[in-house]
Amino acid sequence: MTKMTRRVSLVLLSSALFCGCNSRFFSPVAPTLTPDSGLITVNTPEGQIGWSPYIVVHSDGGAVEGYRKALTLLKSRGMVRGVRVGLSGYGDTGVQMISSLGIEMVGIVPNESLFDSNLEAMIDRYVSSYPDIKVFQIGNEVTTINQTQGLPKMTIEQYMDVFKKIYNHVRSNPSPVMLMTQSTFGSGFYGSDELKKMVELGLKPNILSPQRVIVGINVYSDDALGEYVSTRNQYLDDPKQGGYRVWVMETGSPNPSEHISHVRSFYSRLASALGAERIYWYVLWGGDTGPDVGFSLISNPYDTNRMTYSPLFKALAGIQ
Amino acid sequence: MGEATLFVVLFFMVNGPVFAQASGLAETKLVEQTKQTENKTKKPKPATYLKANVIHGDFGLYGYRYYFNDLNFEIEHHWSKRHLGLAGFSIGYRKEDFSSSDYGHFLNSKVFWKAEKHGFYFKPGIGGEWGKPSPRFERTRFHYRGVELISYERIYLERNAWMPVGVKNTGTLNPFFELGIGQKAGPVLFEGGARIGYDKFVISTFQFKNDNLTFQGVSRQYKLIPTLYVGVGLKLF
Repeated sequence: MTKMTRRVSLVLLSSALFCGCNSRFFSPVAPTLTPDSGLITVNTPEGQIGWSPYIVVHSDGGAVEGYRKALTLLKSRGMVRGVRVGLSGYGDTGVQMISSLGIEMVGIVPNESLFDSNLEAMIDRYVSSYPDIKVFQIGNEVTTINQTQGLPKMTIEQYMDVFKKIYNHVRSNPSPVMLMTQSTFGSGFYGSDELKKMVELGLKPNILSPQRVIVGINVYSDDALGEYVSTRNQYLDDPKQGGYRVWVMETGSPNPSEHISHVRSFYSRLASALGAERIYWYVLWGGDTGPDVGFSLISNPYDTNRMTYSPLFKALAGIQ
Repeated sequence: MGEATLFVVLFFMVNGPVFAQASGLAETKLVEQTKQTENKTKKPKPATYLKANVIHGDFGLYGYRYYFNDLNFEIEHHWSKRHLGLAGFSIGYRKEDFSSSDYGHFLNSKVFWKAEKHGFYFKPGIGGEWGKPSPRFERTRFHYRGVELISYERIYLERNAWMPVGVKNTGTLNPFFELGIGQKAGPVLFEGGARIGYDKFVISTFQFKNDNLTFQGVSRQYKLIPTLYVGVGLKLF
């Protein structure tokens, strides 16, 4: 009896452990898509998804016509309201084209510009060169990607000094532009730890006004999401003075066949758990070779007749 | 697949004692009767169990519906005599949200009282739980006028504890209460009951005026988190 009962119990205990691992029974489903999530409901071959109508667009003069075609398709269905564009110099043909479509833009001030000896003049040039852009993001992942771009290293302390200088100049300027912090890294807890440091270095409502500053972050993985949620709750949202608008400036999947499932499982959590007001899909086109190919919604934008679309793009644009 | 397996496990948990009796093991009764006679004359012996519980939550909170299942493993020790009126204590580990190994880990400990009769027992307990929560209780409710965002409300668990992994000080430490009933069948315990957490939530509200974000205020509220659990324990020594 005792032996048998022990065996049965061992089986039960092991079964409980096994069925727990990776079972949907123990893993939450994404929050139900509700109107208060701010996401647009889209019917796809994989079921309904909640979409945030914002996309990252890489600046590329040769792809402008392909971009025009793709963005026009999405705009006609209300699937794009805004894009994030990297600003190349002080006159970008892509920016002019996007502006002509009536799409709102966030412009990234390139990381190399943050080393400018006259930061005030630098930001003034960007603001005056791009009058249609109302939100300027000051750099992107500056502590992680500078070396890969052949730029000098920039610590988060140096970055916050740069950001505060630009903020103080812009605040005293009658121009109503908003500034966005660099997007922190999107995997693991490196980015959330850096965001915590940014708070300690002055990203506080009584120092940098939430009426002039938006916080940008990149979130690609579930572990990063969990850490960002904790960091926002514990550090970024000040219990006495409130907090900042948080926009997710990059998320996506490197596998086109998983784009739709990424949006379905991740967007509602970014909106609900993190409180992300906007979520930007990375990327409309990440090149036809290289590490970002799989993230792309379109390919071959240099030749609009040969342009192809990812399953997510087709679902958003309502094309076959 | 997972649900089916779990159903079988739960079925065995609930029906375990019946199976044990129905297995035609006649000597069981004899041994049990002998043991019961011995128990009347002897003091109860201390016992330590390894327990596995499935914790199930299904409730509404701040207008949201929550439905989840967690796993809890614990070592539970029953003293031979009461200490300050208590019958025993346990230390355990709870995992919530199996979609990520980076969060949803908790260590818990509790003390309990126990009233026992005919092999059945009633066991209220109180304890504390420390860990790194998953984001399941973090919600944001956006309010739009057309496509224009006019206000939003963030509801989240207050982080109140040190955390050695990930971003510092983003852990939680909260009390919980348990009411369990169970049955001993030889070296095995079958137990079910209610487990009620007592968690602190923060509600922040923001409004947009002329596209400018304005902080409206913050409030903190304690909320009961009601869950049910069912589990099985194996006597270790």
